[in-house]
Amino acid sequence: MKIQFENITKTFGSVVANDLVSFQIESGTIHAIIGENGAGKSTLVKILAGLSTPDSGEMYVNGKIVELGSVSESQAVGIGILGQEPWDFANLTVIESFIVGSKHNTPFMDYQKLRKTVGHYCKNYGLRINVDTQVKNLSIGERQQIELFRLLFNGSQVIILDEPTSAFSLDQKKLIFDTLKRLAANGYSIVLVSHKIDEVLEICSRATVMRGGKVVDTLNLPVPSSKLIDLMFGVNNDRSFNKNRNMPSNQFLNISSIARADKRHNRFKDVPEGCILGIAGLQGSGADGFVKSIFDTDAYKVSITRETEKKDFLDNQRNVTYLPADRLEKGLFSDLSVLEHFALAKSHGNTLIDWSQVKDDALSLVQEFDIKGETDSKASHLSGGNQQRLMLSLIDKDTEILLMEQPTRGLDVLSAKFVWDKLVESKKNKVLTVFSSHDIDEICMYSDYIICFHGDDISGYGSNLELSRLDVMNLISGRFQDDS
Amino acid sequence: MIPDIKSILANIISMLIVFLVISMFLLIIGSSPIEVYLALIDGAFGNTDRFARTLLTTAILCISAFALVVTFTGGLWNIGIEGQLVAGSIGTTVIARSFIGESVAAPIFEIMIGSLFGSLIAVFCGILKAKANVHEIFGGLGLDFVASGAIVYLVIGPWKREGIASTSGTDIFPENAWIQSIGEYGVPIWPIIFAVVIGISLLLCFKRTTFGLRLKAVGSNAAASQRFGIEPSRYLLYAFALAGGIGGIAGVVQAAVVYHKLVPFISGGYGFLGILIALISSKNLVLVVLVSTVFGCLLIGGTQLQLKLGMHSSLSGIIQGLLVLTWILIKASKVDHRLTNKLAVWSKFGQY
Repeated sequence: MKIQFENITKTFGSVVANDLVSFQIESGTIHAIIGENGAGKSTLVKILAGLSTPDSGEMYVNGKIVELGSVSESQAVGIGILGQEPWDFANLTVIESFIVGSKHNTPFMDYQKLRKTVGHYCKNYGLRINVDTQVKNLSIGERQQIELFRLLFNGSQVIILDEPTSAFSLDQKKLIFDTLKRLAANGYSIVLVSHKIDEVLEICSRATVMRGGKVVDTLNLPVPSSKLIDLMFGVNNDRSFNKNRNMPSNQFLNISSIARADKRHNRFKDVPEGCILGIAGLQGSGADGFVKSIFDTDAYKVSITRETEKKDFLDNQRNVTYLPADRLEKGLFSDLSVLEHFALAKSHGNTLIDWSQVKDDALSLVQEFDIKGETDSKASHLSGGNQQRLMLSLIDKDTEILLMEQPTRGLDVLSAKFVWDKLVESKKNKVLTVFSSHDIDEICMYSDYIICFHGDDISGYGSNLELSRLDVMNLISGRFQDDS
Repeated sequence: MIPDIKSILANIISMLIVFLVISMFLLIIGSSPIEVYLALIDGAFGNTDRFARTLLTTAILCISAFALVVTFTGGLWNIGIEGQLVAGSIGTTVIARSFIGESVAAPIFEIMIGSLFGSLIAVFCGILKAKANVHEIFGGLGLDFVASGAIVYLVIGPWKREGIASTSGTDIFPENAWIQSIGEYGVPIWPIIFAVVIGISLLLCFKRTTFGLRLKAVGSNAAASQRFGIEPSRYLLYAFALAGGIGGIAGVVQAAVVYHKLVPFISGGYGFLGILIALISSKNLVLVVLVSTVFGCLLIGGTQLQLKLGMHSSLSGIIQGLLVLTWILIKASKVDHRLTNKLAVWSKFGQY
């Protein structure tokens, strides 16, 4: 089936997720849609699946116009979507999950026939499972496979896979990829959404690259991976912004980490004291978890020591401040007022609250951090930028290590700049700032030292003088070893 | 000030709607709403004796709802409140039946031990949650059954009356162990003082102390409170201890003021009613007093419906249920706020 997008535009408030997107997906191909996080890939496939309605534009299937924003219409023309997580029912058996949502539904199901059909799919595509087992007993890969069969069973001609492999083992990935190749050979169209270039090069025959909501190019594969990277991230891979930056200190820290999962050990030597340490990684990578682990030792056991002394900074939790990415879910109290937040932060050791004192302190901090909003308005009523300013203003003065997950997530340009000005300023007080980000520009612009994550693994690290923007891009997309 | 006026107005509108709904219900079942309301008012305030009983019931409801405000503030569902009331009255009886019961200091010990018993059973529920991850609703409900089982055992077992074992209760306490009322009609001065002291203390606790603010913080977002150096599970136990202690005092009042003995159904369901009151008042201590008064009137005034109008005694319960449901529906649908905003628009038109 041939699918054609014509000038699809979708905006969320002031954010343009899809900007006049036009391209074609040919039948019998595996077509990749690639791009950075936030490039607009997921929005586009949601429109394709009828899960989202665009503001304007048209979509044609085999030359016929399709009503947009209707799941049933998309299903009727044969479009099926496989999510990042399996959308199934963990407590049902494989057979039962076929019955639920089946197009061929009758009051009484012919179990024998269905069993045969499911068995046929499994045999055909090399999946060895017991069809009477509960879905929850299967691996994620097997569940995705079953979901795929269910789409085929319901007559889907176009299968969309929205970054399906993030939770797969290598074997599972191979199984799914083999299935996809065979389906394409049989005339099905496969749309693979991904930001993993190696995957795309492995199985796709065409790729559409998106950046900032726009289609940058649609090209036939294979091409060198560096070309795809350039298209994905833009071509200004220069080091100019790294120049003229002095190392903040001649004192150095030793940082080491041990992954809980595979006991892999990493040592980052010569990290300057009072610097900004950037943890780079794409969405879903271990970067955020690494930052959080420094606070709660969940996924990694991290230790940070000065070169000259043995004492681990992290032994004294008091000097560590952790600012999570989910500001309202994990960082602030949505029901408490700004003033109450200040009272909480400064309340150590006092029984009574001196509200007039708290108010005085709060007013000066509100001014210093330019928090827009009344001091008695609830945290949930503040904008994202003001919430982040509030979080920054609450940081204890004794903080030596500041941990931030995606410090500028969802912030407007001005707030983001404000946050970074504050963080850079804190270098003077020898605060070690560790932050994670999906934004390569942010990583390269502000980090003195960079640790790169590809998936859950640390793929490389070094000071900002040793690593270029291109190096970081390669490291987080997992292409470094092959090219060098 | 303006948002305050608006929310007060919204509450007045809500009350009017509730009134309307109850009146319509009464019309549908073929009775005159005015007669019913008059009977209720007469039943609650008609003479000094009834007035005193209404005050007493209101005070007990207030105390039990205050206990629940504490746990709700900490983000906890203290379904175990009934058990805490029962534990409080068992504690009272322990003192009243001991040698202390004959002394004039008995009430002081009853309050202390009753409060302690309530606190202990509540903390047990808290430990189950903190250490064994048993949700406080299940733990609390289980402990409610334990407490009501224990009280029946005590009444017909070790504490049975001379010669007979009856569920009608233990022997009457010695008079020194009663918490006395004032005057011929028994104005319940002490329960009112308890309620006032507890209410004001809690108000101060939440407005002025670090403890109150931290409890609020834990209830609002346990994950974030850890970032502020607060240990949520510790505050969970504090909340239970405090709420149980207050609930225990409601039990003390039931045993030492109302019954002067231990009876199997000593809680009178006031614990569960307290949950409703705390919910309707949305943790606002002043509103708790108002709502408790309404429920106190309905409970005591309701008896007159049967005597005076020959209506079934369950009617009072139905009115209470309607009140709660309508109120919750109004608040959930935000009808009151929409009407208030409309009213504000209209009043602006009037100015031109």
